[in-house]
Amino acid sequence: MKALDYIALYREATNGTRKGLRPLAVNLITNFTDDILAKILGGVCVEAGFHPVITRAPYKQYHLVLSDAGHPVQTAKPDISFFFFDITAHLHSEFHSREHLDETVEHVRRYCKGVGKPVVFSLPLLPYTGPYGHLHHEDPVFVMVEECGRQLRQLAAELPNLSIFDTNKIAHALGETAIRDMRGLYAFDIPFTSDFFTALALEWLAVVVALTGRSRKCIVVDLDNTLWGGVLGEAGPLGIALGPGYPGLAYQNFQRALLSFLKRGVVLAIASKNNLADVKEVFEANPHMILKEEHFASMQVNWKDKSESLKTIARELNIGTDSLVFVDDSPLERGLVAQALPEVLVPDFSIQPEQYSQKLFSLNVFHQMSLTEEDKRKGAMYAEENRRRAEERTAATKEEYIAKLEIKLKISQNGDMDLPRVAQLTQKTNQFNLTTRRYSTSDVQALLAEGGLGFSGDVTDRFGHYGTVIVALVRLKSEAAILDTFLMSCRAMGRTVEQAFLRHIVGELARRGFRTLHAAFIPTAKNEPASGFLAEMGFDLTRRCDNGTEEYLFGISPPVTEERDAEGTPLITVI
Amino acid sequence: MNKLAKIFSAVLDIPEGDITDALSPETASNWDSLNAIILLTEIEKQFNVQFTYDEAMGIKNFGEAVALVRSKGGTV
Repeated sequence: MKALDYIALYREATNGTRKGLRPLAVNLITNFTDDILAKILGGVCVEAGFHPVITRAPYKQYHLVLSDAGHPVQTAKPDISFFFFDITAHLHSEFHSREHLDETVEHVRRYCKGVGKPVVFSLPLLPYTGPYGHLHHEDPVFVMVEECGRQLRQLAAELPNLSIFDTNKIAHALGETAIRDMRGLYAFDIPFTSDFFTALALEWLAVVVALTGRSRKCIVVDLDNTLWGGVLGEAGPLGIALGPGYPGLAYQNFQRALLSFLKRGVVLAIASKNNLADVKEVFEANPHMILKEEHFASMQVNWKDKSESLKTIARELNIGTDSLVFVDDSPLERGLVAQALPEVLVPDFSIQPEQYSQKLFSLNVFHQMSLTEEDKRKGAMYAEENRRRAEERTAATKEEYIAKLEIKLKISQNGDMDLPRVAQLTQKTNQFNLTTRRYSTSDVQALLAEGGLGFSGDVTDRFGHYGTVIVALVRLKSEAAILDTFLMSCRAMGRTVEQAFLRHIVGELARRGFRTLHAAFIPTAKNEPASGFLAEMGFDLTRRCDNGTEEYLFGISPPVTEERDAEGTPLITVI
Repeated sequence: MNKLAKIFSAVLDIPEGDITDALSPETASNWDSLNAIILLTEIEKQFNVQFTYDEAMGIKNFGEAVALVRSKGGTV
C-alpha cells in the first residue's frame, strides 16, 4: 500500500465508515511538521485492525510538552508513544547544542517513567553527506547524532518500556535521496517524503502488533523449489539443487535464513506434498542440507490439502493458525491456503530463489519487544517435545505419562521473577489465559509496587527445560485477593502444571491470611483451553456478565501445618 | 485527465466525477494547506515531474494543475 491509501484508510476510521477496530491511543512526538506522518501512521494502524487516536505535540512544542509532566499530551494515557527527531545538517536546530540534547534525553527519561507504557524512540538519521566527505565522523552534526544515539541506548538499558529503533535501516533500504525532501524541509518543515513516513510507520506498527500478541510465531515451508531446487520425487535426494553454485547456493542460503529465524525464536515446520521416506532420506543423505529434521517442530509430509497440514501444525504446536506464515513457491498452493485459512500470512513467493531470504526478512511480522533465553532455546525445546510425544505414545494413561515425565516446577515470586519474560508471556499467550491482559515490563513492576503478588513457574522434566512458562499476577485489597492474570504457555499444557501452580498460590495467600480469592474468565476467540479451569479447581461461579465474562470466587482454607496440599497429586514436584 | 483526477479525488476525498477545471480551494473544503502539499508531492511522484516552489504555489484550481503538469511534459 502507498501513502495515499493509508491516508484514505485513516480517514475511514476517523469519519466512522470503518468499524470493528480496536481502540489504540498513540502519542506522536517529533520536531517537524508531522501531519502527514500522523495520517500515514493512522492508516497503517487501521490496516492492522486498530482505531488509532493520535495525540501530537503541537508544532515546535515538543520541548514544552516534554518539560511539563502535566501537559495534556503527557496525560493522554497513550498505549504507546513514538518519538522521532530530525537532526539535520541542512537546517540549524536546537539539537546542534549539546545542552539541548542532554536536556531532551533527560525529558525523555521522565516521560517514559511518567507514561509507564511502551515508548519507541526512532533515532535521528546519521548525516553521512556534508562538507566533511569521508571524514564525516569529524562533522559536529554527525558527532551530535551519534551522541544522541549513545545516550538513548544507555537510557533504554535502564528503562524497560523504552525501545530504540535505528532509523538508518530505512535510509539504507530506500536511499537518502529518496527519503529527504529539501523543498519540503525549507517550505513546510516537512523534511521527508511520504515513502519515508510510510516505512517509518510500518516499523512502528511491528511494535504495536508485538505488544498486542499478534506477532507471527511459526514459518511453515514447502520443500520442492522452496527449501531446495527441483522436485525430489524426480531428482532424488542427491539430485536436488542445493549447495555450491546457482541456484543451489541460493536455496542453501534461504535455509540459513530460516535457521537464524529459529535461533531467534521463530518456530519452523514443513507442509509438503511428498513421500515422507524420500524427505527423510534428504535429511540423512544430502550433505548440503543446512536444516536438519530436528529443526522442525512439525513435519506434515503427505498428499493432503496443505490447509489441512497447516491446521495440524497449529494444533500440534498449540498455536493459532493466525500465528503461521506459509512459504510456498506454488501460486496454486498459496491460493488454496489463503482461501481456506485467510488468517495465515501467505507472502508472494513467485520470485527467484535468490530473492527468498530478502523477502522473508522484509515481512516484519515476527517482532518481539525483547528476546529472552526461552526464545533462543526454542529450537531445542521442540526437539525435546518430539521425544516427549514418543514417550506419550507408549504410556497407558495420561497420569502414567505425566508421572514418567518427572516434572519439576520451580516457582519464583515478585523480585525473583524474570520480569521481561513475565511481560512477554502476557503479550504472547493467547490460549491458556484467563484474562488476556497484556502487560509491559513496567506494568508488571507497577503492579508489584502497588503491593501485588507475582508468581512465575519454571518447568523442567526428564527430557529438558521448558523455561518460564506459567505466570500469575494477584492484586491484593485489604480483605480480598484478586487473580488479575493467570496464564500458561501452550508448550506446558496438558501436564497439570497449572493445578500445582494454583495450589501453591492459594497456599501462599492462606499463609498471608487471605480467605477469598476473586477470579475471572474473560472469553476471547482463542482462550477456550482455559475456560473450564476455575470450575475444575473448585472456584464458584458468582456472576456471568453480558459480555461473556465469568466471575468466580474461591474460599481459601486457613493454612495447614504442612505446606503440602493433601489432595495434591504427587505428579509434579514443586520446588 | 484520469490520472490527475484520481490523485485529487483520493487526496480531497471527493468523487472523480465532481472534479472540474474550476475545482479550487474555495470550492473544495478539504483543499487546505496540508492537502495542497500532499497533492503537490503525489503529482510530482506519479508524473515524474518537478515543480518550482512558485509554480506549485501558483496553482489556483484543478485546470491550472492540468496545464502545469502538461507544460512539464506529463500526460494527464
